[in-house]
Amino acid sequence: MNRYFFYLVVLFFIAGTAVQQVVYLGAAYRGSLMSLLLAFAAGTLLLAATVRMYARFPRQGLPEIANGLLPRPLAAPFLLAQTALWFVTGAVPLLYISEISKRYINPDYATNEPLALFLAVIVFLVNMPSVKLLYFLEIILIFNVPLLVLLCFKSYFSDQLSSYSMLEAASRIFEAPNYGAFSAAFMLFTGCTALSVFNRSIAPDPAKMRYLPLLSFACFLLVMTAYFIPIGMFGADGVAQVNYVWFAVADTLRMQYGFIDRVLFVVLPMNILTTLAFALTAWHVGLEHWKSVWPAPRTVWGNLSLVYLPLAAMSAFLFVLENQLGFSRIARYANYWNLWHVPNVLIVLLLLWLAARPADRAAGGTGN
Amino acid sequence: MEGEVTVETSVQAEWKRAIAERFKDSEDFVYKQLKRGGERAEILFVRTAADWQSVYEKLVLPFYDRNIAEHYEDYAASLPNRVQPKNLGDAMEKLAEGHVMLDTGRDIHMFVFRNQPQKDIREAAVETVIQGPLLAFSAEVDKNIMLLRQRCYQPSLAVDLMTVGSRSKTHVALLYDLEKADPATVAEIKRRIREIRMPVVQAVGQLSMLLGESPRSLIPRVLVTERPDRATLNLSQGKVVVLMEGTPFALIAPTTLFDFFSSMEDIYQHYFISRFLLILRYFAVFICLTLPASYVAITAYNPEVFRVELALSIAGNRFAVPYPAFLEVFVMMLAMELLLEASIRLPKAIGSAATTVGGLILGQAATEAGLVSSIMIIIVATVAISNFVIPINSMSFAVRVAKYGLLAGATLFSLLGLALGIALMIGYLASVDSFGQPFLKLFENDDRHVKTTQHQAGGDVRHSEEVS
Repeated sequence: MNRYFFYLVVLFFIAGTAVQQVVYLGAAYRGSLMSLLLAFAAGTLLLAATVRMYARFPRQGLPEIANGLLPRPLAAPFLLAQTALWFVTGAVPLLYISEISKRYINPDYATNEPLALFLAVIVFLVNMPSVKLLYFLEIILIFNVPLLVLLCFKSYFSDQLSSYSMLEAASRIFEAPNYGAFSAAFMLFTGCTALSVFNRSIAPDPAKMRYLPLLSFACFLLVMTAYFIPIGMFGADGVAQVNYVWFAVADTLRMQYGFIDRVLFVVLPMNILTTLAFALTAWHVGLEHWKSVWPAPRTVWGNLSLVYLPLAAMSAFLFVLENQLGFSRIARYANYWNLWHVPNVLIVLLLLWLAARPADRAAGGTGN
Repeated sequence: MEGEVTVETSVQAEWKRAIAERFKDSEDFVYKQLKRGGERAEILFVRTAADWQSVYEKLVLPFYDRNIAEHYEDYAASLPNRVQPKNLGDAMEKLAEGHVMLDTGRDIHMFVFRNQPQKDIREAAVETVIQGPLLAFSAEVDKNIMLLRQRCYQPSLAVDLMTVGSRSKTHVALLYDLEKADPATVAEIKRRIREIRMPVVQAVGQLSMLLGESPRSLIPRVLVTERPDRATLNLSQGKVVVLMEGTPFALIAPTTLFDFFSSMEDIYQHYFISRFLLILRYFAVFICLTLPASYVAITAYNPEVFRVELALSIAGNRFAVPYPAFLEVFVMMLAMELLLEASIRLPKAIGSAATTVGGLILGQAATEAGLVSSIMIIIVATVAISNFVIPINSMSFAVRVAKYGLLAGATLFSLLGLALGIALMIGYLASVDSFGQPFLKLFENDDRHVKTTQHQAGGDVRHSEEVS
């Protein structure tokens, strides 16, 4: 079932771009292009490594692997850390899209209203079986990828695109990379790490992954589009001043002959749905990690509280955050949060490698 | 059903044993021994496929007729409808097709006694097609099994007869393809039928709820059809068909969402035509669900979504309307639902009058009086028409109700409510099961309807290995 793996990777790109773009565009004169290229290389390696690692553990998720390798006092904190990581990973775009909804759909929304709506849908759906979540993802992406393609093409052929700005940005390719921009772009490639739960239900076969280079090439195109198009539209200096870059770009474009004039309103539903799916996936992965820490509850109430207590806590936390901090500060903290992705991925890969070693030795080193 | 020990060659015994084994799950299979003095003969046939009246007259009676009995072997050999099976497999298929097997002890004969379609079988009225099989199920279970047998000459078709209702003892037949159907699903459906404790069960819709479909669930998960060809197709796809005495409809389970949007004509038409029709249908569902909601969301909250000319023209149209968009939509939707309901309940002669009065006069007058905008009338009409495009009635009703959910979402939370409402709907559909099978899942289920069922089996097997 390789195609579901494909969806996971693509989803992180589509949903993550709007958020992460701000970071690496902000660093346009501080080596962000080099960081992007490095992140692309690292992300492609990560993609290949993750698939190969998990292929050695058919039908097992990270919780099972970790519990098998580590003693419980080590495994439980590790899995709780993963839970927290995934929950926050899902929450950042959620806060972002809730801010966007207030700006672009209806300024009359109460502070927490869009967030509450998103959370209501997520809490309702997040506990469904992993396989069905993937079916849901598939549908969401099938609806939305054409819209993304439309956005890209409209922007490529827009006459507001200044090739001088883009060349100016491109000429800075040899500037030393910047870790903040690198980790922001690297986050986009972490979709494959969702295998930590989905490996239980899908089994991507590395031997059948001939399209993996194609996938990473498509991701590369998307990253480059998301980097150069805003710069071409607003200038390398101007782009740092724009708050919601992706949406500002979309709102620059017009469709001459449609019912809908502004491309923004085609892109907005796409972003709403993909962000929702992204947050849903991330929280689902977090929730599965969380469930694996505790012994299986015996009563219905135990089960309900095991699932919905962390969700309620997280929702309350987000409400408070949104109320107290305001968006710009949240965005800044979210950037610090990005820095954590690289070490985390390395830790998880190390763990997988350690867990796979004895298995390989037993199998006479036949793993690929 | 067990073959009894008679003096006969081993080949005959082996054939009969194999046949009895093959048909052991078909309760309409008859394995009868005729005895007269020392003479024995055995008759094997499928009751619903063969014409048992003729079997009785041409084969059973002569066996006891003093004049013929002495030459019964010759009599059987000289019957004009005698055919020669090529091998065991051929014999089984012929039996399923409505042939009768007679073992006189010395030889095996097969005769054509196919049950011809009865004159009193009515044409399909609910699910009509333009070019395709016209007949619908009738109210008798046996006749319906016969209809299916005639379409699907497979010895692997299993027939399980049961009764439901502690007082009504309504006959129910469970049909499935032994080679295709998932045994766990069949066992689950059988178990649920056996567990029904209602005193009286009268309609398949009622049965579908008793089978465990939640009465509170808006989305039907059991397909109700009146078309034997649809039932046959679904049998060949490994689904279970439930027939019920007294109801000219069959239940099909498990289902996927796409089953409810497929018309039988999709596979009777050429590829591009059927694809076009399918796309049209899904488009209609989308329109029906979202049009009223987007009207409210856009006119009331975000007129800037539309291009200026369109937004102005809508606003100009709504100029005379004295209340907000959601009220306008609710009022007109209510009028439309009333009209639909009235035209169903009324006698046919008055029905058309009601539609004219309601649709034309009311719509026209309401616009002129400035109570609703004329764009609203267009929307209502579009929604109603797109609702009729859905081929399966139960799904059509579900969509009819579900659009109010989206409407409420859009009314309260504008475009965000609409988008999240759609997401919630898709998520809910993706998360539910129909008898253990995923209800909404793209591609693999969808293709079954449009392609002929040649190579899907392989795909399904591969799929079940890798997921779930």
